[in-house]
Amino acid sequence: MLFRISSHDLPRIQMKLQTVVAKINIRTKTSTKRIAELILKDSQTVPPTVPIKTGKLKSTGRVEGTPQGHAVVYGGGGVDYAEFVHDDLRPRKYTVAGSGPKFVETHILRRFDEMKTIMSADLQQFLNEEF
Amino acid sequence: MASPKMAVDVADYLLGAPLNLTSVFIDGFTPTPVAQYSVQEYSGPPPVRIHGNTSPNIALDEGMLQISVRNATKQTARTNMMAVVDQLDGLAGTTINSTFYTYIQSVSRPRFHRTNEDGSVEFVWEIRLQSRR
Repeated sequence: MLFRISSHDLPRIQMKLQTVVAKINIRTKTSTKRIAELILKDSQTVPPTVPIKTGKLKSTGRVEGTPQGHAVVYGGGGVDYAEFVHDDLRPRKYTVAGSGPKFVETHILRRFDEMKTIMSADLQQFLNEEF
Repeated sequence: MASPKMAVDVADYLLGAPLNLTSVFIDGFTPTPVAQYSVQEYSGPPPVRIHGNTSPNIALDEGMLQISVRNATKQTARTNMMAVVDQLDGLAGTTINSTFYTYIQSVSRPRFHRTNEDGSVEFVWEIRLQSRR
């Protein structure tokens, strides 16, 4: 004997799931923007902060969208030494106390667990809103 | 067990087989020779602790190291750096100087860093590593 069980709601549920999947990507990008803004602020306020000599490097600090999410970016606009300053671990006298190398990477590592919490909470809130 | 000396351990690893490098220094280059390597630790993630009936104990130490290579020519500096990368990246379950390292892995691409006044060039590369107490 052959029988079939189906739900009239199935197409509607499938459509809903497709919409949710598309929205998750957008929501995740919003989370990455929030995290990147946090890291950018850290890089200018929490040691090690971005070194300042003329102020040009600091002025180029920004959050940029990427295909995967968002990134903290320094350099550009005539400042071609951002990577060098960030990665140069040799001891030197910085003009501002608390400034130094790895002024972005350090904060990413320090906040890594918090990043996971932020993304997870955002996603959970989104799913609660949708269902 | 004491906190691991990660930079020292990695430098010793590079000095030993199979690379058998010479002129590997800790915390920066020395003036001579031109061709040399440097291993330097910088701030990284906090250690992994065990919480129980006793006060929290460190179970795993996490470290970040920058490895620098200097040479008279860019090509040789790059080649020397890539030899280090090939040897260290992905290493797991290795004991160095009695410290057990669960993993050593790349966190960046090896890249050109600077040209010095004498014309020598430097490449840098960063790794993350974890050791067991």
